[in-house]
Amino acid sequence: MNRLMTRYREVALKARIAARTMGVAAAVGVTSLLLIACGSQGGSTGASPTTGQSPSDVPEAETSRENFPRSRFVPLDNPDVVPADAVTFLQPDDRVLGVTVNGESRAYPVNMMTFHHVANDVVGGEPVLVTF
Amino acid sequence: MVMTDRQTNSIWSHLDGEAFEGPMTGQEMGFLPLIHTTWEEWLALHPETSVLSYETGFEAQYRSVTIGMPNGRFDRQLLSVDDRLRSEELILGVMEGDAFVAYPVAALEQTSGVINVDVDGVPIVVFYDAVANAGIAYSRNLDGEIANFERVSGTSFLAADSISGALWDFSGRNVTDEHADATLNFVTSYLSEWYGWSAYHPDTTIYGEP
Repeated sequence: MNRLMTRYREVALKARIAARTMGVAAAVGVTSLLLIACGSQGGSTGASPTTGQSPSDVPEAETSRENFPRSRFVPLDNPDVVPADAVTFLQPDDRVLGVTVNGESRAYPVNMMTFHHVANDVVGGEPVLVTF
Repeated sequence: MVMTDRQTNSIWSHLDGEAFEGPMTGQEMGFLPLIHTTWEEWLALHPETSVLSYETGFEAQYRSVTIGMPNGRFDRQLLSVDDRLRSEELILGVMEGDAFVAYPVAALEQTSGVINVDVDGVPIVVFYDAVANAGIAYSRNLDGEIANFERVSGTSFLAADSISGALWDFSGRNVTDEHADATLNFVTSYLSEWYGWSAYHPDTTIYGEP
């Protein structure tokens, strides 16, 4: 396990150094937080417990970690959504990240995700993390 | 970029979904399929979709970003550079078992749009959708039988399987009526720029290279 941790620490160091200036890896993944919910804290990564939290209320405690950058992005928590026929802000060629869970589909405009980088959301009843 | 959770302050990789520092160290999130495409195509695939509202208070910050464009800023930020590909080159990263394979989007453009392959002994298929200019991987195991897939001509991405001839769309749904609602099993895969994928997975192979 120590070897594993060391490896991840090393690669994460590389990645965060790059991402600090870039802000964007085109890397995208939607990640279920169900496994986190099995942890000792019983919580998920902000997927649902932070309703109503405004960006300025985001805890800052972890920014004091010496090994990680102090610059932070503003995540989306339980973002408001609109139905497709009410969308006026997207052009046909604008890029989106689309996810479908349990028959429910949702689109995350890329130009929003390149600013927020993380969305804590619930889709199809499942807590999901969308990251860009 | 790394992520922290507010419950434990553990630190998570956003590429691997694994916590590597803090109380949650070693915990992994599972991946879900994410379709990277245009709004027009996503709407055609899922007309009932909802969309994030723009009214977040940060509207003025949303700017279009062209991913995959050379800018040369990142190489000097990395501890080491894997020069097999250009740093910002777009790739589809595929993870299966202990294997990591990068499919350069530029190479996928030169294919029919369907690649049947075995990765770490597992039969998978890579779909490349020219409209989306993106790819995604699925299992070729259909209820215990191993299928081969073939791109069907047409603008919208469709692939036929070799077992029943059923048609599958880019999001892995069977669109042939008699099998409607069946979906291909997702194989962890996502678009990345090369520098991020190769920093996390230095042992990655590259499709089309020895």
